Amino acid sequence: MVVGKILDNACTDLATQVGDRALRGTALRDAIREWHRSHPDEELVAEAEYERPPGVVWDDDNYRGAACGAFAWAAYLAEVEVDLRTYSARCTAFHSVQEIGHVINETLARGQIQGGIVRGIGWALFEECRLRDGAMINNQLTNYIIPTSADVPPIDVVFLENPYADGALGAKGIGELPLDGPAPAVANAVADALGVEPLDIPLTPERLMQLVEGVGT
Amino acid sequence: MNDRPIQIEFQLNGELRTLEVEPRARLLDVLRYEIDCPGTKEGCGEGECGACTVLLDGLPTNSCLVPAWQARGREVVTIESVTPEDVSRMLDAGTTQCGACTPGVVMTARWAEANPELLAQFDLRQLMAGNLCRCTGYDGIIDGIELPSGQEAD
Ligand code: FES
Ligand code: FES
Repeated sequence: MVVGKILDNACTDLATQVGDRALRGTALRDAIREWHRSHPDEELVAEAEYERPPGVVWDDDNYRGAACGAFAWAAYLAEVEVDLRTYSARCTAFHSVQEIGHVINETLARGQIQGGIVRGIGWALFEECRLRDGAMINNQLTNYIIPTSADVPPIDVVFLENPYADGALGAKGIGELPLDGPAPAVANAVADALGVEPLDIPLTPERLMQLVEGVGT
Repeated sequence: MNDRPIQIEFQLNGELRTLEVEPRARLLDVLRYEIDCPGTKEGCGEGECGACTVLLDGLPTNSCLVPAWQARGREVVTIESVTPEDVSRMLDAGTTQCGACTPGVVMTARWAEANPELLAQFDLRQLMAGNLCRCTGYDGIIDGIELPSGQEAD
């Protein structure tokens, strides 16, 4: 939404130069053609830069201040079940609350969040990038396991509306948000279930067996 | 190995097709590149993801794992047979995001919808487990499937 706004500002600059800052669409195109006719061999250049919302101050030399105008927030609650014979862990319920400013399109926003959360559950329980000599060695779907529909519960998403005055239509960003919290939530639930303190994910059966029985390393 | 093309005939989306295929050609490639049905997608090419799902005699099948000649005398149904009306519930439910999984998801979902008796033994999440999706988290997929009235998805 930052880039979109910059483009829009550049267009406003262009429109202003050709006569009326409110021009858009075909009217702007026609005005630009007209401008070129009356200014042969001249270039029409418009510029715009990102402008911070008032009050948001960032010091790039010292890396201090507010890098973003506002943050989105979320809370996650995972419920898990661990099979004590096989040590396979399963996420049986998942709830989340998201504060992403104003929700512009609820279906898409919910889908984005649910997709990110399921990826987080996969990260907590199955997904492990194995690296050797600078490359990933399990880079196929046969050996890099991601969740299927049968591996995850329905993902409950509740939105808290808190429109952000400087966001497009009051929105904040939600791209990365849903991936950050779910794996820790799942790991904490497993910790609570087993009385262990996992420090690495994914919590594969091998890792859980080591944690509970203290065998191997 | 004998590399001579094989002449086959099969039903594709209700139409009889006759063509010659290489013995090792995958059904997926024949559909996409030889008979202009590029709706079916390739994901993994190794039978894991379900992006390439078509219905072969009514059963969801990974077309990346099927030699095209095995379609001989059989009935193949692909995403090209599906109309926007058929998937209107999916469009509302957020079944698709990037779309890579969607043609396969739709075909498996149509199989599940056409065989409601399966739901006595399996739940929808099990029936759909052969179609990986990285974007939706699956709720949008499960919610997009039309169940016989009285059945609840989750
Ligand atoms: S492309 Fe056929 S299963 Fe993935
Ligand atoms: S919508 Fe992207 S993989 Fe399913």
